[in-house]
Amino acid sequence: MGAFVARRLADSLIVLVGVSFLAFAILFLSGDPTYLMIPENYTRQQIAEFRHQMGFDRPWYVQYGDFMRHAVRGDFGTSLRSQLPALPLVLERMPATLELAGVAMLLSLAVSLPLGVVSATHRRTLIDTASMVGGLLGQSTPGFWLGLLLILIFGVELRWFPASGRGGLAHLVLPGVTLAMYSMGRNARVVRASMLDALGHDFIRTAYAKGVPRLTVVYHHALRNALLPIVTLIGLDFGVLLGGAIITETVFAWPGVGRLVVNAIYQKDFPIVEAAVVVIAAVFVILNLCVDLTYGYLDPRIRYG
Amino acid sequence: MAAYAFRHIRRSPGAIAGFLLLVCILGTATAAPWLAPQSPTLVRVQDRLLRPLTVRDGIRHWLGTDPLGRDVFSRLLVGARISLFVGLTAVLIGGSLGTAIGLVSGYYGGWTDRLMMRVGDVQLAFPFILLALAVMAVLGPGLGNIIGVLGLTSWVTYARVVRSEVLSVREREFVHAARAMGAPVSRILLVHALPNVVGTVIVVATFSVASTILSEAGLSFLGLGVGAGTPTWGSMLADAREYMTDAWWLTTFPGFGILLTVLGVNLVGDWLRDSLDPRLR
Repeated sequence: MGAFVARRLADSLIVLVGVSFLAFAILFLSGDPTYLMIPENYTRQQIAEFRHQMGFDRPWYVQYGDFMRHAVRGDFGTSLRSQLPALPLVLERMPATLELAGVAMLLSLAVSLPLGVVSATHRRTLIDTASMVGGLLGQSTPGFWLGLLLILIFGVELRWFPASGRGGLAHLVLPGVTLAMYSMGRNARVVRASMLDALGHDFIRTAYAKGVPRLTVVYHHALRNALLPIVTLIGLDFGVLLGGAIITETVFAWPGVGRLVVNAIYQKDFPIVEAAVVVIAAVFVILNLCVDLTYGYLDPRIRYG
Repeated sequence: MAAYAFRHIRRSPGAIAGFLLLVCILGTATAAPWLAPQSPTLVRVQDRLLRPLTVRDGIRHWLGTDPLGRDVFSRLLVGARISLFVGLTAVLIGGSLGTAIGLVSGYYGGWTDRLMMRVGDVQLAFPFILLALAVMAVLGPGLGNIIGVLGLTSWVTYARVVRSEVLSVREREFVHAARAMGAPVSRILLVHALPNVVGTVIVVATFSVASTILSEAGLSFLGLGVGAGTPTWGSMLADAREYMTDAWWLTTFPGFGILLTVLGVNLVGDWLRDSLDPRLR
């Protein structure tokens, strides 16, 4: 177990270094940021001095080394617009994004788990067909469009929920549903498939044969065995949800990392983009590490060797 | 395999619906120049925000007009072409690249394999849209750029799936025999390994057309897609936001365009998966 955790940690570290390199490359390829940072009336001499002073005239590997030395200390430079340190700006927005993604995740599981299980146990009935068609629709609907429709119907016409901004529970409803829709559809389909798989095993027949009640067989014997692919999916889901949050936050003016990063991209504020990319990747890597570690708990046959 | 698949389709109403949807969408997209009542970029400010089905100067605006008086139906047709074109070309790029990497990675193993898989891990550690956004921010909007970004960032899934297939194919007798007879690696990969993974690749590619179309729409919605001037479904929705409460048709129709196209592709993908590769279920 210890060796497994160590190896997975090392892997995660390598991935994060790769991510930092990618983030740096994006910044580097975007060109010399000098012109974004200096007043317009600088002379050529002053520009050259400024570039030298900031170190923009050094080769890329020197600049990357420098970037990494600062990055490991949590220093991603200052925002080119607000002149505030980039990392705190990103971290400050993180709770809002995690709140939205977390709610979407709960919503998605709360709907897709029961729907998938019932579809599997009532195969080829109306419930099954309806929920699978619904799942497919959820998976095919562009999130930002759904968001606009929900705003139009429930925010503007019916006025049931606030159409934008962050606040109490009511503010979470529309963006939460919008963000959850895709993974809700996909998860319902995966849960169904993996339940059907589990229900086809011999031990299920044995359990029925020895008179175990149906509900116990479904929820204790089958569901527990069907959980493994679902847990993998939850880890991947978080990546999808964090990515989806970028667009959902823009639609609902939700003050999270997604909106911060989209605005930073419009303003070519690359230190913010870099910090956000690394933070989001780190969250994703840590979550997937946790997912890997739960495998052994769910399925004692898996040994971390 | 194909014969089995086509026997199978008659028992699958979903697949039939998917094919019908796609045929309709592909048909209208192809025939766009003849179907469009007027040029998609023709501005007629005096005809702004007309309701659907309005007739003005002998032209029926089936789906109404936008704030600049441009015909929504004509723009929707051009949007269909772009969505499908971007979806198909990006998947072609990503699929070929990923399959090639997967073949080589799986066959040779060793450090090439470890390096490629690690690079894939790095890329998967990113929410895809964030990577695409950042790259588009650097490159700027444009049709070529969006196809490149969506294509080059989608290789990982193919590479992983193909690699794992090749790992098992590599140890089969017919590959050992080919190697013993002195077949070059290129022949082993293309003639012996590739046909064994083609079904899987087609299934992955089909679903990836669906997700690519969604991604393109999302990026265009954020203003980092094909670029100003070209009507795409995503950018039409972005423009519609301001008029959401006055002109429901501006928000409704482009969204249905995306939904129906992606739904059609997903339905066909489901059927392909069930008939070509039951293991992916």
